Amino acid sequence: MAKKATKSSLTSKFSKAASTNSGRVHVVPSKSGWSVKKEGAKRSTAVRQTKDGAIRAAREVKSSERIIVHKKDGTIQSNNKRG
Amino acid sequence: MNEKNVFINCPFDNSYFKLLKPLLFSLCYIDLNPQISETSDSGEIRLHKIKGLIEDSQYSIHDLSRMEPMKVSELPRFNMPFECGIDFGMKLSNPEEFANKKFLILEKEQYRYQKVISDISGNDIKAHKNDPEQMIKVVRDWFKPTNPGIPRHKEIWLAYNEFEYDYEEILKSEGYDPKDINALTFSDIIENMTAWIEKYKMK
Repeated sequence: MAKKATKSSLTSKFSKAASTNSGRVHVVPSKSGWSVKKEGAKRSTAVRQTKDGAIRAAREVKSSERIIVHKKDGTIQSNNKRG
Repeated sequence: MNEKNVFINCPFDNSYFKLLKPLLFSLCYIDLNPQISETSDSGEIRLHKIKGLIEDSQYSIHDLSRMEPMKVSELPRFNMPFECGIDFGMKLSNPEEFANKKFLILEKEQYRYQKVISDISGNDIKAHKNDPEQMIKVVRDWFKPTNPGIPRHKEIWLAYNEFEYDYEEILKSEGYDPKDINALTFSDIIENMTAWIEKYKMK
């Protein structure tokens, strides 16, 4: 049975999450390989043939604090501090 | 009939959730209103609600990809072709009222439908290949002629991945399982997506 969350608390969390920049860089699968995307950016900052290549490129993004690697379906594979 | 409403007829299970979320997200991202019946409604109420949603929607998306069972031990799903038939029936029986109604039919493979439901040949049938990015692409591309300013599918896919991170984090923080299609109601999911997209586009 679906739980009915309170509108104000949950929706405001989503609004806040989309409004803030937390220095996250996403490694996203795409038809052309693996894209590196800074949070909030509408375009990729880099595209690499392999996931490992894209993770290396994500580490080179100066403002990045965390690197979020996605699976093929968009869900999260890993969430690590930039090493 | 609302020209921004899109009736969604698709499976409601956890294995399909990975396709339903990008489908809903892409519609919200291009400023359309997904119309989806809650699974908790009882049979008769549900059918009346579906009829109402169809009447109020200029567009319908019917996903027939689960005509076959996902596992050997499962049975095929008939709700989707049944609701698709209701939609076609309403349009055919009221050609003036529903003259502008448009259908997008989704399948796993491009031409498989011809073997099981050939009556729908000639309609817009696209294959999502069980791939979330492809789902966004076929939906976005289908709406492109109706909205020349529509964003590229890549922009929507990148945004969806960022949303997916926030979705998992927020649901976990609230004690929900983000992989459970029933964790939130569909109206909650759409409301949260819409709120998220509104702020994301302002960045």
